[in-house]
Amino acid sequence: MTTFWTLYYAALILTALLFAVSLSAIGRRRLVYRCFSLSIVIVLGAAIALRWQLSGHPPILGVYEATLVAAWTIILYDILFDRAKGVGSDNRSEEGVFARYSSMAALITLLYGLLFDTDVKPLVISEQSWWVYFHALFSWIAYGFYMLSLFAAIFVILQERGAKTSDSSDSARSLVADWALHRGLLYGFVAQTIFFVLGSYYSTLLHGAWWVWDSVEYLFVMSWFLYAIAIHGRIFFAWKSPRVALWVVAAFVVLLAMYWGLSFIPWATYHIFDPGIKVHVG
Amino acid sequence: MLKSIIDKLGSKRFSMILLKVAVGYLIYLTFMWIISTRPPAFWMVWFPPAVWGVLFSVNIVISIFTQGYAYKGNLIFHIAFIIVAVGVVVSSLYRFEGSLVLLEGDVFLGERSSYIRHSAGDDFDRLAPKLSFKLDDISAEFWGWRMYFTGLEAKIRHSAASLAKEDTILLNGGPTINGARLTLSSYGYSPYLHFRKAGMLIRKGITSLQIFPPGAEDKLEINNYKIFVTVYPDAVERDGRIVNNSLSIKDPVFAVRVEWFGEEVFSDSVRVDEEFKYQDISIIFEGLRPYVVIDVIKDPGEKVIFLGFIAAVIGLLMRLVSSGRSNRKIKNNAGEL
Repeated sequence: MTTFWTLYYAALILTALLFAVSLSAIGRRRLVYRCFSLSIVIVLGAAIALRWQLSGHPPILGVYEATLVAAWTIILYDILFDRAKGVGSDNRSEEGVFARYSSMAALITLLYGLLFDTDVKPLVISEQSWWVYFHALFSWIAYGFYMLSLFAAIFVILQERGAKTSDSSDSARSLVADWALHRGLLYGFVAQTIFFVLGSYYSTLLHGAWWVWDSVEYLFVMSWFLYAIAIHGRIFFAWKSPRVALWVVAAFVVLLAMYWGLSFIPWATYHIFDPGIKVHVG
Repeated sequence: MLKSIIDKLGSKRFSMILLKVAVGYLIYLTFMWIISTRPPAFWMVWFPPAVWGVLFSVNIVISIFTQGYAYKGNLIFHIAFIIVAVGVVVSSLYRFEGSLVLLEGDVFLGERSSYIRHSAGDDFDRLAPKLSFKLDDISAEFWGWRMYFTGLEAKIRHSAASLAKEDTILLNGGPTINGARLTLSSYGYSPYLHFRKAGMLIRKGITSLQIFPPGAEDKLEINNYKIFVTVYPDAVERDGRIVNNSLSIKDPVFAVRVEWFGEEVFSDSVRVDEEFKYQDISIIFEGLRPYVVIDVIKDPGEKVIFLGFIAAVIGLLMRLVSSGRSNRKIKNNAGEL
């Protein structure tokens, strides 16, 4: 476990440093940004792999393990986004455009995880299934896309609320944010749908029903509908990005409540977000 | 008039209204669940979504014909909702849900009285699956001494009279027999006791005491004697005290307290086959037998619902592929976003 904790705290420090670097314009420090981001993905990825080996199961049990994967996903998606958004342009000044958001989110996520039980536990029977593993995998894929969409939404809202300039770099960044907002929304929606289908199939095995009246399912469908509103508003009524962004933020708040909030009210759900709390309350 | 109604029901604006209404209702439900409150009647939970589902289906059906979809993927995705709606209707008409409690070694013959609860009501004969099996073995594993299951399975034999087929029922999966899926939903153990009064056997057999997990106390009443029982399934003596080593049944000790008209007349710990006596009564615990609660689910609508879900995923993936293509076109043509 010592190696795990060394890797974990190294990732935590690297994330904090990335956040510090991202507070000033990344454009001039692209190499530093890239090195930090890649290091976090590698170090935190190694920590996750080591924990997987120690526990004998994928990191899907408890809030602490969830925060590890969430933070890793956020940084990884930010890197992938930087790779993808080139879209034929030679202008790379937009690299790391969301770095300050992603590093801050990853840092908060990692610190939040420390509030919970960090012990390695075997999987409870209800979690022992490949269906759960893939359900969790798609939940993090969706989370990553939606995070990206959220960063873009915050960027768009902040641009709209004050910082309107005719600066060409700002204009390029707005285009990038616009692109990320809609791509993140669409890809996240697809991943969230697959995540739901896998979960509901597993629910038929575990509970005998594809739908169970439960607050996790309500929040899930609520966020899905909110994202659907954002997508349909854009398609049906040609909503501009700032308006779509508000719905994206609203949907993400619901997602946050589902991913991170319900662990504090385990009596309201049959989902096991944190076995320690669940057993304690039970 | 009719056209105007159809136009409104199939309009984009109505689609958005329905989505927003659904969000509002889900906020209400979430809040209720969080404060541990439920609507006074269960129909108040499912009826609003049912009405919403009908309107949503109507909206989609009309929009499929009136609005047209630019992408095939979108069309398939929305048709999927209709398939899901059909599945839900089939489920509501033909779904059977039942639960039964079986001890190790028991046989289940599928009779109405064998279920502790079922959803079929008066339609039991029409909806209940033809099902019989013998429960051979139950095994449970725990993480140390904690109430933390890491394994639970029940081995059964079935196939009518021959009992030739063997299967294992798990908490999260099990065999499907005659269209009915079997899964476990609970585990426990019950003591087997003899109760004699003045030398006469008054009661012999398994009790329905709920004494799992260890530490839980339950009582049964025989001839005005209230017998309170707690069990240590894997008892060991430590510093002169009996403590529990694990949750597995190994060497059970029963902590027994007997009351007669409210007055405690006996309180001690007894081992298996150890007799305790008070005046003319004698009680012997012969052992502890594990039991499981098995859920029996038969739902012909489920397959239709999942067909709809798969169609929805395929539709979305098709939409993504076409979106990727148009994106590449933009990139190639404009050299920018």
